[in-house]
Amino acid sequence: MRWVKVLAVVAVLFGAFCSTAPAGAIEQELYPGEKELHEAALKEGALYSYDTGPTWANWQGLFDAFKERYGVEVTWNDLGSGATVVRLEKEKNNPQADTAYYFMPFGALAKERGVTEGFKPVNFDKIPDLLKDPEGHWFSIHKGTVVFVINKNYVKNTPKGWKELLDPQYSKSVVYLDPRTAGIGYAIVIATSYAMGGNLDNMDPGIDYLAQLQKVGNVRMIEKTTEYDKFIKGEIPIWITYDWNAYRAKYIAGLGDAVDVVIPEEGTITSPYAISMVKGAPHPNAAKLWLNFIMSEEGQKIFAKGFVRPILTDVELPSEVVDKFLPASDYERAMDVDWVKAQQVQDKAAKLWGSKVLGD
Amino acid sequence: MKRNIFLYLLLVPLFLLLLVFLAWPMVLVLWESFFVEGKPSLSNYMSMFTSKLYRESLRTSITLSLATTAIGTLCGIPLSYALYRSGGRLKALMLSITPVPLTFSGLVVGFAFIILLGASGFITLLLSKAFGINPLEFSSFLFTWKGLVVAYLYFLIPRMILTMISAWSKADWSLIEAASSLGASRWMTLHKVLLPMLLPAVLAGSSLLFAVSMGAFGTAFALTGTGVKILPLVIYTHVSEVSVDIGRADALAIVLALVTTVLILIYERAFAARR
Repeated sequence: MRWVKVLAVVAVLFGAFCSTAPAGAIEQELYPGEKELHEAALKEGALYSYDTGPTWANWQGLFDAFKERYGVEVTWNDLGSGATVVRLEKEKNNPQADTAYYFMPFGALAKERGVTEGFKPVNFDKIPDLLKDPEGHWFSIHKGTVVFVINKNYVKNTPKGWKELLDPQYSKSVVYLDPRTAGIGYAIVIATSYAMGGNLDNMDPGIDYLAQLQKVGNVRMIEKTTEYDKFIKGEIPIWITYDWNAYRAKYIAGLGDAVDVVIPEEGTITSPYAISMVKGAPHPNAAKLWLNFIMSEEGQKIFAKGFVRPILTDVELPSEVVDKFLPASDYERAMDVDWVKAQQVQDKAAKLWGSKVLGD
Repeated sequence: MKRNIFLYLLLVPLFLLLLVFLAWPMVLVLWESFFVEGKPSLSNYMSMFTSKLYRESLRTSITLSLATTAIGTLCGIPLSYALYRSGGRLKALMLSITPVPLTFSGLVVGFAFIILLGASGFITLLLSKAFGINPLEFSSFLFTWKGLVVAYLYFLIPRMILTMISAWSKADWSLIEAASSLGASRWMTLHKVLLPMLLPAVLAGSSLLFAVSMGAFGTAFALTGTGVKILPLVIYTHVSEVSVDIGRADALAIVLALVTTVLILIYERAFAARR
């Protein structure tokens, strides 16, 4: 009687499929024209969003909310910013992606390579001018601040700033990402440069500092990809990364008091992350619906729920999140930089880091 | 004749598979390595001579691979002999367990070593309880090239054992008996009879170990990140985020493949000639 069981399973699965597939009609529009856009998007039936890895910056939360509201499944990949631009270029004649997300400087690069389309989503005017392309070829959607995340099981005295990290008591303790391979790594180079008295024209102070950190033996490893899991597992005593990773480890993964979050006393920077509509997107209406949703107050709040700073400053943050962020006075030490310029000097800085820190 | 055609037809799927997933990508990689921003150029290859980072990574890759190959071969030969001479259930069990490390992805191997030897790893905690060592200092070797030697051996030694076990099984032991009954010394038997018999398997096994070490990526990527200067990781830095330079990555991949192939050819020739 095995076939009876098989049939029963199939029937149940089919039932489940039917009940989840169509989303209910939108009852109240988030912005004028949403219903119309939604209907057009449903006809297209799919959405390809490049480089929005679900574990980064609470993208999973946005996927779920988007699916729930519109019934459109977001198909994603996790390539890395640079690789995303390369891939868009390769697919130029036959675009596969609808939207592309990156470390903000890559937005300008993607526009330069002619793979983006101008689109101004809702609330576009509220994005600071420096953090968007005037025609909407790319625009920032959230920010992250470079902080220290401390595992207090290993670190008895929490370091307050960059200079203290050089102390011998932090031997073999510091982990950060490779500036050659990750936007956050590059953000760390810029942060240390400003903290050590340099700037975008002169990054030597920051890179010299990182080289010294390496030389005194306090760098445990240069990571690339699995740093969050390694931190949770207890392999990383001091981790330099974005603040949302810190809060996620502390409050979502539940490490609580075992984790300290520090905004270095000498200062740090805040990095914007941007998104674009892809030129010749196969599902243009779904892309617009997605971009509008990300920029709506609704979407921005979902970032905040994952401790990711929304780009819109007037969005009311959920109270359970607000209390957990470090005080605003700490965040005053985090500065904004000229990211378009940062993109132009990025390659040079990455090479300089390679030669001074890895000593080639 | 008819049978031959049938055999060839059977080979067609394999041929197509290799063509599409091995030969064609290699051709593309080779082709793209000669372009810089859309213009034909040799500068991707010239960078091998101008960049200290590339030269050093190639050298570290070769050193690391030679070390792991030598240790893997030296450990693999006696282990495989012991396994060959053991019998019954134990042998059957060991033979079925030995290939298991080869089936894990490099990422899994990397994490397995972190779980054992990392700062909060099982062995590290045990040692720190027993001898009071500092877990941070002790485990830090794991994230350097020394850690890679240990991790690579985990999947290299079983490879050597599997290659050697069939050589031991096929060895003609009556020749050894004949040599000693004809009055050859132990050393002479070893040198003139046993070694030549085993040499092809040792050569094949150690070449395989070297090639695997040169190209291994996942374990290094998961374990040490990109801080260790070996060529596969440097190639990776050129296909990711900030330093994207596909032409450069292509050229380095070709260099890695060429150097590995040439070294193996020289090695096998040198020993084959001695025979």
